[in-house]
Amino acid sequence: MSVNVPGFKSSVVFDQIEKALQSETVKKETINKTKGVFELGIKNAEGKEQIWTLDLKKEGTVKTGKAGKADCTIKMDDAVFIEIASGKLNSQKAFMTGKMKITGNIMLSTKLNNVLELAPRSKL
Amino acid sequence: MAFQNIVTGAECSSGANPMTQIMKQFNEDRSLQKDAFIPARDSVGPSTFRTVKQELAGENKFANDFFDQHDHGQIVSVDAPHSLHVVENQRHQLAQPEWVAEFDSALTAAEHAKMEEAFKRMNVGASWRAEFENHSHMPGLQSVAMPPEFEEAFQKHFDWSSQYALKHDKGKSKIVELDNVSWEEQFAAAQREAEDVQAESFEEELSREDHKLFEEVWSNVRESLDDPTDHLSWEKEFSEFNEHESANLGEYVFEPNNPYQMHPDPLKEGIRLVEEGGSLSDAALAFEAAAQKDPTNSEVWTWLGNTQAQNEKEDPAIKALEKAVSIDRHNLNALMNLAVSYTNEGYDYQSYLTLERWMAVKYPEIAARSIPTDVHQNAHSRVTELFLQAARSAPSGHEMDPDVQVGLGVLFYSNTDYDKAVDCFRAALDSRPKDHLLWNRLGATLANSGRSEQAIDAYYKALDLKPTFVRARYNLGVSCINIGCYKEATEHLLGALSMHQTIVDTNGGVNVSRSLRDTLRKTFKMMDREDLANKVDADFDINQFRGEFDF
Repeated sequence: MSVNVPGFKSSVVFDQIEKALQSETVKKETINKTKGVFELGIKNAEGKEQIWTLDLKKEGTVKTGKAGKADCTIKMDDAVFIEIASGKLNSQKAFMTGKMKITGNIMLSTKLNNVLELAPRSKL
Repeated sequence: MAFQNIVTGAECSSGANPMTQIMKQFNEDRSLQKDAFIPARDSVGPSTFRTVKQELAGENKFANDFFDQHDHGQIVSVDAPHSLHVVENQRHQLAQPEWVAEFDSALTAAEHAKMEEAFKRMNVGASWRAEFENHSHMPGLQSVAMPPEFEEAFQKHFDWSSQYALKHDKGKSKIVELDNVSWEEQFAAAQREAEDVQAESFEEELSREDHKLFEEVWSNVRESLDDPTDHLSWEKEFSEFNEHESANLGEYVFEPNNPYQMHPDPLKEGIRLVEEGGSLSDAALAFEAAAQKDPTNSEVWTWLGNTQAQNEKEDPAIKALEKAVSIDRHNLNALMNLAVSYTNEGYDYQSYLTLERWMAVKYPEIAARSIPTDVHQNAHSRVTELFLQAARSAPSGHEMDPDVQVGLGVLFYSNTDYDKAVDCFRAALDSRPKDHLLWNRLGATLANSGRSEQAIDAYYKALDLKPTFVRARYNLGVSCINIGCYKEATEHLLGALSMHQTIVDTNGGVNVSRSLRDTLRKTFKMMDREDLANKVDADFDINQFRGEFDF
């Protein structure tokens, strides 16, 4: 099943992360650096919510929907996720300004960047 | 917040308000408390302003103790001022909210409802916003009309003050109503007494409460952050307000040992290299030599900045273009390209301001017409509105200014409005089909919205027009990664890096492109070739990959 969900700009990023994690080297390295399961609830401009689960504890996978127990549950808007993924906004600042809601292991959320940087950005 | 208005509001600063008098007293001696509380206070942050209505059971204890004493008509012991003192401490530590909470806790439900209603009528939220927008450094200086119900509830509640005084000072047999002066005296007396209370047990208690207090406040801060509607917009405005017009990356760093410094006319030579399809790295060296020779020439810096951007070296590009626009504020080309570079590096606010400056130079009548009185209006929507007006102002039958389209494209792009950005870049390409920069911008927008295949087409168009365009090659590499073609990606990235070799330096010089190297290393890892990834270090030779990759 594709992690690409129509109507969500964030889809592109999850898609890229999934591709990158197909490499054993990348998978091992990212799991070592992260060691946690993220459940990301993204709300798009139409107000629809979609959950992606990033397992960077054991499996090294990206899936849509909930998958077992997450160490850290994060909620944010589609556009905010893109801002974080493109390095415009760091997750600590997003949290402090209320753009990002975190439940569970808050410290783990700082490691989200390790995962997001797997998706390279193009430049104008 | 609302309460602060009342306390420090102009109307209440007259002697008629007992609350103000309390504040005066409370502000006198707090050196001890400051010592005890400084760390916690620092961690609390401005968000505490929004915790007013939260439950603060722990904090209420002292207030309740105090009021209990009053309710049961006990003789006020030496403990009373002590409690007061603690209450006061907490007020200092956390500014107004606790005080309000304490105040609330002592109100009956009916009074509370009455006050709530009065508060609503005052529309305090709006006044806070107004104050903020007026750059007020002292929130609460604004006078707020006080509905009579509130005054009534307030006065009623403050009857405890006279009763307290009555019990405390038995020397005075009859106090019907305290005037402000004697109230002040009473309080001063209470405070003096408090200072005699053993400081030790006092401090002990404080440190015990300290941690609990911090935890509660912190959780309240977080809870209040959960309400996105209230403060998100001002948070954003506030962060923009604090930022600067430029990115402040510092001075441009020149390449040492630049052979073009010997050249009689390095500017001309650089332009020749750019126009005849020479290496951008060599052209950059020529422009650097020209800039060193003539550092106040805005055109030279523009050439240098634009070349570095196309050479996938954004940091020196921004430094050079900032220099160009600081010398000549009317340099349209430099302003537009600087805005693009800012956007790439995530300096969105600087990008909006730069586009606004572009607008003021190119379309002064539009920029002048809609100069907002409110500087805190969202910069993105303000500048977008200017560009939309410029787009609409094109006389019918005439082509729209393609630069306006590019500006709009950049604005939509930074707002992740990719579909609109694509439309803008396509429209600009209708007027300027041979602009390699535009093809690359179209490609990057397509790629970031998940259309890698279409992006690759656009990049190839750009590279057909300008084979030395390193950035388009880098982007092509990124899109190849996104569709899983790692070998091709590697070859494009290595090809791009090979163009950074110059006659003086085979390694790209002092202004290296970190993005190219990082992406190359990542790509090798995605290919499960850690052996190759480890070779990509500070001064690696790309020629060692020639056997395996074609570039």
